Amino acid sequence: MMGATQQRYLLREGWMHLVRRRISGTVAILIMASSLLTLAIFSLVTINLDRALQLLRGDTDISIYLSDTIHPADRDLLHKDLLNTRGVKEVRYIDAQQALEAFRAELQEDAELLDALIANPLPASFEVTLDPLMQDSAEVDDLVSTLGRYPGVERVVAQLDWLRQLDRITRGFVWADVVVGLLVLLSSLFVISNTVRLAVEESSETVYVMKLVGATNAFIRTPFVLSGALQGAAAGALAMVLLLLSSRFLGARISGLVFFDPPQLLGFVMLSTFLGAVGSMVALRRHLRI
Amino acid sequence: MSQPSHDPSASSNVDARTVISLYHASLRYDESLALDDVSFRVDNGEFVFLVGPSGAGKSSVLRLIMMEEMPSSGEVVVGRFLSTRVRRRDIPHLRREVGVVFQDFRLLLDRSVEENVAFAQMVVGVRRSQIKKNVAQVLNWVGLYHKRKQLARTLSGGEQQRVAIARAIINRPKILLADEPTGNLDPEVSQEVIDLLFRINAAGTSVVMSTHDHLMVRQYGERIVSLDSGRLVGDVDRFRVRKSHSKRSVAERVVRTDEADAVRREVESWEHAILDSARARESSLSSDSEAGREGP
Repeated sequence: MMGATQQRYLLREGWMHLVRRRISGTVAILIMASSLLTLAIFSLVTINLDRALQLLRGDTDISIYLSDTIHPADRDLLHKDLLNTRGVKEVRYIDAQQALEAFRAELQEDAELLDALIANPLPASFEVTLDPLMQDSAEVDDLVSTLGRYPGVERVVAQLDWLRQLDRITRGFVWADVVVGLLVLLSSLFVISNTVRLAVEESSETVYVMKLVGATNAFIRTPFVLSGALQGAAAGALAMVLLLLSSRFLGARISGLVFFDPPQLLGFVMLSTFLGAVGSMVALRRHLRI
Repeated sequence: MSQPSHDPSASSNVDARTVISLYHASLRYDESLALDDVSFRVDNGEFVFLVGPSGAGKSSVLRLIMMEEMPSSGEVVVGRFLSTRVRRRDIPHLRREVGVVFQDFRLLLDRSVEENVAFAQMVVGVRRSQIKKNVAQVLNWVGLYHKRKQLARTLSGGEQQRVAIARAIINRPKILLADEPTGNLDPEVSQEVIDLLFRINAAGTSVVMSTHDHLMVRQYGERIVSLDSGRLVGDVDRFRVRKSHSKRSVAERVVRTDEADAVRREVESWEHAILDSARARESSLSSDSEAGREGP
């Protein structure tokens, strides 16, 4: 059990490790903050692209409009074939009445215009959602022309090609996020463990004396881990402040941008703090002989 | 008491009075043998001089006792700690029972006298109010209370060594190891440091002090363990000499080694000095032990 005197000492000592190495500490914080910022920006771009896509394309990739006179057997055959087609994730049948209801809902206050209609002008349709991994343009084009040849199919409308392309880019960004995340992880560990290594080397005399008078290993390590964690926290906080400022700037110009909410911001800072602590433990493992 | 034991089992040999035992301890660094089959014991309250030329293995013995090194073969027992069984996480607890001072003081020079001494207590978790009290007491005792706020680097060598001693004893260790504590000090200052060590010893702490200063050993030595080239070449208790007034018993106390003859000759040459210093020690002990009781 650690007393208040010891805790105070460890905190102060951890802080002093930073103060004594202001320059290298600051450089480490700046490097770590900029890599965290990169990661945050990549994540935000991904999130925003994804959201924009969701808004643009809805959840239907192919709409198959059926003629009013389609034979139920043909319709069932088409449905069955669709379900068996490679790359089809979901198939929904919308009958004419449902289509009208949906249209009415979309029109909102102008819906009374529809009351003037004598018959429902809207066709029934199959709404097909494709597996996001199977959206190669050529494949989709093939599918569209095949579907067009079914009896009782009036028209097949596929989601616009550029939207599908954008979707692929977004997925590419997710991978980039993972790669950037790993790089940030490694570089953060590296810069922090480097400054902590310097601290360990400069403190070798103090560490020796601590061992001499019977300090436990945990006690000797704690100030170094604290200083690493502090650097991580500072880097995380700096990155988030920069991100907040730039989002204010961009938010005033582009509407509808999605930004991290406060718990996510805090999560980022905590991740960074954790990275700092881990980085210093790496350095201690390698450089502190106790 | 101080004969080396040839019993293979160390633990069964531990006497309640024994605070340090080396059993056939050897220490090997790569190719070279720093210590070769060294055995001796230190009893509670003893003052032992560890003598020998530089490179004889004195520091190695001290490092074994503080378990900074583990013997390559043999065993070292310090209090309840056995080198063959001790776990790494127990070593800090051993260090709290063994104070150490060095030739080069090993102070934190950018901290004050007070902080240097308090450090040893803070590290082991003593409460702040208690630390303040203990530090004041021990600094008073080594005569440096008035310099408590000064940075360690501003002190003279002798003062720095007294701070180091204060730091070594503030946790009230059972054992104090002093590795050439006067090596960097001039004679008068050395005298003060030695006096301090004797006062600590008089207060009940076992002291093992290494030195290559034969003059000093001649003047103060009571129990003298001699090393040469990593081997134990002599273990003499001059206190026994005084009691028995017999040259022969001195020779009997000498460990039978190849070098025993050399040691015997050396002991004979010390004879006069021995009797004088024993008398001097007796009188200074009785006055100093009172001072010691006021101390830690």
